[in-house]
Amino acid sequence: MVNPLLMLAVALGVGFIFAWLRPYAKTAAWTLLYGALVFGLAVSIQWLTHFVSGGVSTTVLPGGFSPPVGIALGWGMKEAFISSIVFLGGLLGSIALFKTWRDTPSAGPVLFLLTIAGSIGLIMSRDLFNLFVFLEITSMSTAGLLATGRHHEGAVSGFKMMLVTGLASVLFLIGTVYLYRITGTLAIDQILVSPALAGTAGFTASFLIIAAILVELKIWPANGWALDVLTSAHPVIAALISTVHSVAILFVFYKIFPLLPPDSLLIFTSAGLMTFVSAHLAGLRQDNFQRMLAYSSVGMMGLFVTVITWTSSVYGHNIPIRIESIILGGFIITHLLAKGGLFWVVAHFKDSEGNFDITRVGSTTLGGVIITGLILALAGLPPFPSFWAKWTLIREIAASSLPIVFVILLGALFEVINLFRWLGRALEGESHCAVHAPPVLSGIALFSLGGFSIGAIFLGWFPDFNISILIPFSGLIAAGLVAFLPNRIQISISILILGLAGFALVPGASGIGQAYTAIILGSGALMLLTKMEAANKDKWQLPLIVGTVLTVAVLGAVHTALEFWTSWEMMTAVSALLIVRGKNAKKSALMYWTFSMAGAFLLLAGLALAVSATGQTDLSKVFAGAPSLSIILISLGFLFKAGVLGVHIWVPDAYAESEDDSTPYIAALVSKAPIIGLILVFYYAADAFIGPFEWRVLIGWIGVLTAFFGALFASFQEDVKKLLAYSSMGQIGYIIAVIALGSYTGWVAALYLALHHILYKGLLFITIAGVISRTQTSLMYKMGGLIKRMPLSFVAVLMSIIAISGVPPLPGFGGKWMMYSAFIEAGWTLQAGVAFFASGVAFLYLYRLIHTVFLGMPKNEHINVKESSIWRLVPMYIIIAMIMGIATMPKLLLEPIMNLVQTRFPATMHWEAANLISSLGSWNGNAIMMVTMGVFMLPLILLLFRVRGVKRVKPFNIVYAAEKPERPETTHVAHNFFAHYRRAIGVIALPRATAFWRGVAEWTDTLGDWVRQWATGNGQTYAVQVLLFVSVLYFFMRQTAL
Amino acid sequence: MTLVSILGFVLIAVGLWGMLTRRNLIKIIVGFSIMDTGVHLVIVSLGFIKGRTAPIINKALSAGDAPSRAVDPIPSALVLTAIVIGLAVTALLLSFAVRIYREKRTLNIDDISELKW
Amino acid sequence: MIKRSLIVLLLIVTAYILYPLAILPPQDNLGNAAAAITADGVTDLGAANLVTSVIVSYRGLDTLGEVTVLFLATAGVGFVLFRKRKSDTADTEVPRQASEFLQTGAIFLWPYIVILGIFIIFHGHISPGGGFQGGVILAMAFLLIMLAFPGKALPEGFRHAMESLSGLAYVGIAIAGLAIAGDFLNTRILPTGQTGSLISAGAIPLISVAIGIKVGAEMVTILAHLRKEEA
Repeated sequence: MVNPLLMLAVALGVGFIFAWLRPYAKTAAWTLLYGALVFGLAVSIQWLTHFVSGGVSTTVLPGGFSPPVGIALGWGMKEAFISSIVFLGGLLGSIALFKTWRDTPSAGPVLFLLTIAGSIGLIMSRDLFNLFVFLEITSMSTAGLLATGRHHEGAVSGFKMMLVTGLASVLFLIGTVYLYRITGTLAIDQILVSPALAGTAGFTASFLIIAAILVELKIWPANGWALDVLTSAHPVIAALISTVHSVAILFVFYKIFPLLPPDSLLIFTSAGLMTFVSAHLAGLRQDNFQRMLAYSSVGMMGLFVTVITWTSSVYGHNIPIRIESIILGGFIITHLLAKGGLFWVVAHFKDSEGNFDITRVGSTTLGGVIITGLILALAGLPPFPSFWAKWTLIREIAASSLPIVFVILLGALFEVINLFRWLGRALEGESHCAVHAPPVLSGIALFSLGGFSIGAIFLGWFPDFNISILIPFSGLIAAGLVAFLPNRIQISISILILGLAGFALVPGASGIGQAYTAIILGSGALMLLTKMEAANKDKWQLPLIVGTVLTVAVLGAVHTALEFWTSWEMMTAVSALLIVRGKNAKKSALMYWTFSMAGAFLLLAGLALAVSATGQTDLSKVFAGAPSLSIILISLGFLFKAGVLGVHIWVPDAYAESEDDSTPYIAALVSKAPIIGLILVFYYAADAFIGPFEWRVLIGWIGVLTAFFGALFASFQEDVKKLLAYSSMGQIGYIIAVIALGSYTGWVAALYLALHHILYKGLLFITIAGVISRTQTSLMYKMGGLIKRMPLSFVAVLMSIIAISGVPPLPGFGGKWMMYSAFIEAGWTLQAGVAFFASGVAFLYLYRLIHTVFLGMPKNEHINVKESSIWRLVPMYIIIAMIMGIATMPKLLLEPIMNLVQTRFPATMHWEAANLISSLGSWNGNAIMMVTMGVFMLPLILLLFRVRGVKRVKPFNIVYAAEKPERPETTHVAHNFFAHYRRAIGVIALPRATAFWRGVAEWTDTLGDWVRQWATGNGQTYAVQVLLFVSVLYFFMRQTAL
Repeated sequence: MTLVSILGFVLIAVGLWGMLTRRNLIKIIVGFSIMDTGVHLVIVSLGFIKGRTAPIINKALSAGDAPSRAVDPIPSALVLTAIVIGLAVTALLLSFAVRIYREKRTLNIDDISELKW
Repeated sequence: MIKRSLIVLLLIVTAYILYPLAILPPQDNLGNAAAAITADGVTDLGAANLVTSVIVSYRGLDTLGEVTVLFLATAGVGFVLFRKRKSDTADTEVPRQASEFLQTGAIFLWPYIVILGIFIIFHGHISPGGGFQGGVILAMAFLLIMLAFPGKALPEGFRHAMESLSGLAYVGIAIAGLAIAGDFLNTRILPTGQTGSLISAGAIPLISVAIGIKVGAEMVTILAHLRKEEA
């Protein structure tokens, strides 16, 4: 094995001669420069593999003297790991800088190389004074590099940095020499065991050292300088500072924090948390991408400090290596590669004046994919390493301190909102931006991240994770890879992918989950047929649809809590991307993302709590033994995702603004994810819902109220997609309410309703998407009279309306019947009343839907519209056939459902031939169908014969006398159709929830603004802040330590 | 507590005051230098033991006597390193000041705070 | 005013924090490390000046780092002050001549200062001195010339060559230590010789020379950069 110090020596030697050699032998100089980095990378990786395969850590003694007289350098797995990624980051960064370096002085590459060499020294050294020297090397070289920044800003921020780090290094130096004075040695390992460390002087000296490192780590509030530095620096240099340099200093912190007594760890944890939350809060207000990345880097440092000190306070010195590698390793590699990759993206797309426009990134598909991947990796989504880190971290912390979990998740929520906002902007570029070459280096970084993660899974680091859960991910990629093929071949392949996934997933699932997965995949494939109609404008759409269907489907096939959480996150991410691809969907997608993520984090907190409380990994056992609090958190998470009353404000926009062809998948399929989640929770943990606090009843009420308000809001919409969106909200409300009943009848009703919702909501959205694509509008008052032009669509809408409203003979009736039976059985009569009333209201919007779109007089511009294409009609009528089939023979469907539910609750309904007998009566779908058909067919036939006598009515606009409308369309009869109802009950229909959440957003923004103003830009103020930070920290520390 | 270390701490305070209150970049750098010098004095004072001699083996100090008659050689070595590093930092700070003056024609720290928020 | 009172308050708090350190009594015995070095230093390394032993050998990595810091300062200063445009009017202006007094004194003193510098570099391991001290003195000799005869300085190419090659030599000796004695920076690759004589203490004098040249060249370069700016 090569002596690791050679990496340092080679880097220093090359650094020394590069500038001199370059004018004489250009090629040799550059070869040496890159050779030094490649050499370092090779040596580190060689050692890393050695350590991973069981090699023991060694100590390197330069000069051959061991402490206390000599300097000891540590070299083990952690060191080799960090140094590998330091060299990798350095190598990629230096490649990114090559163009800039070619025509600037040699100092640039030299300083860059020496920053890396210094970082390696920081990582290895276990001697305080030696650390001081390497700290100075890195801060001098990074400060020098800042001069490459824009205009004079580089010098200004370099000055600030030197001032602050100069102050910090003075503190460090004083602490170091006094520790030497007290203990007689400079070796950290010897100081740690020295009895003299315990006194006041030892405490003070250690405190000074650690405070200095915290300042270098950019801990809030002593981090204003760092933000300025990272904002003004050349992006690749900023990447170097925020990743390589910071991680090296972090490792110094890791080595020296045990100098302070363990009681003080909580203070570090809190300081880290404050940094994490405040950075992401302040980041919300940023309109400069690089400064947002700066905030994100600072926040990451805060999280690192939290993680290091927290795990140490729990495990002492015996932190399990797997936990450490997953959490710290995962976050560090993400920080280095994903954040570094984003900085490189900025460097790649900057114009000659140094301005960066993020929309340029998305101008090519590959660029869009890369930035999407990087941002998702940074946001901690599967399959990237930070996802596993986040899960493990939250699971570990939940075991002992729930408040910390919430603080971390709050900060993380700010971060993901922030990141997604920028992602939305980036993806806009595809349509209107000149094409720019994709950022290949960042792509390599992303690729390495993914590889690392997959590698960890295959190494068996997650015994409770089956690789098949990542099928949606491979499906998404597979569908993406064939995106260049002709449309119909693509769709056939996509359907094939769904089928293959079905073969892989369904046999492994069981019970309700199995049925769920199969149904989602089947309906997804059916809906995909509609895409055959026309060529795809958006290359992203089809892969994302395939991904959405698969991620929703895989939820039924999970076995462990981790698998569930993974699929949930994948589903959230992919569906959000699907929405953001809509034309004007940036804002709606952000709102969807925000609420989904808030829900997901509640779910994560609950799952983590349950897993750590039960010590189990299997979902069934986790839920069964989960404490009530975790059940509440989990179901709250599902309710967020379901968009129940109060958090429903994302629903209409997300549905309305997504592409017309994408909406069916979101409305019909994604909306089922929280349903299966709730069912699983209630299935395994029903007991946890009944207790001193009737959580179940509360959810029931939330459900029926959601149903009522969903119907009410739907009645007042002008946009047909929003109408359907609110309608979905209402339907989901019913389903949630009956699930909450936790009874046999209720659950049969829930599953039955959920299945129907997939069918008729899919049908409605497909049909309406066809109508919209023909009429080029989604506003109902602009349509009308389409029955003549699109009769088949009219029939489809009519059928689904009948199905929804619960009028015999279609299956909605059976669902409603079981629902009311279940309510009454459980004694929830009041809820039944509200639900009943909601059904009445639902009738209003359904009537409006069919009336304003299909009846009345056709508009001039729609005189020539055609019926929807055959590709749309075929799936439409397949669904109609299924609905009719179920209506005629409900037993076919209900019997399996009842068998499933029977495994959980004792049966209270049974079949007698075609009669479904419940405690309250019976229902015979077959007979009802016959009777209704008879009753309706007779008049229909009669009418057909008398059709000649029909007199055409001319519709008139309603205009009051002397009224001069500002917007002529408002006078149309179909505009504000239910104005009279609105006047009567308008008070309860006011958008209170919207106002509330807008208030929350504004307050958060204001708070973020206030936080970020702390960074005044004045270098001297930053120095004062550093001193203030040290003083305050000291008093906190003293409380615990002395 | 020796006279040298008292002087060192006083210089640290003086330098810190200069660093935090002066507006002129050059004066701030001077403040930093003074503070650094103070730290160096403190380091040197730590190695000193009353009545002992320099840790150099010659006619006055035999190798055998060194442990009992020489002062601590390590702080002297550390301070040398610290001085050189302090010098390097000062040089770099000064060059930043020069660059700032060249581009902005000002040496007032309040005038160079445009990078914020 | 508020800011100033805050700073006063902060200084008081800082003093309060530092107080437990400041009141530590002066030590009357050597600590572990110092005791070991004073006891075994001569037999270990053969250098009479134990401070030099610590600087070059015991804590040699610090010193390699320190040289790097100085090198970084040079590179950084050059980088920060770098101008793209070569057409600066300042360069073409003929700088004001120094007084005759200074010029004569400089010519007279220059050789002596250089000799003193070289002496201090070479005797670092047996008497007070060493590479840093001697290097700085060397640099001062050239500073004197620069002050006395503006426009005259060591040729840039020569300085760069000195900087680079002395640095490379230092790293080379360190690697030789690894190759021959098994430890990076091990100075016992040459015989330790008779303590107190000029040729003794293994590779310590060689490293001192490398450091001396490097420090001298770096200092001159820094001064030259700042000097150019002033003109």
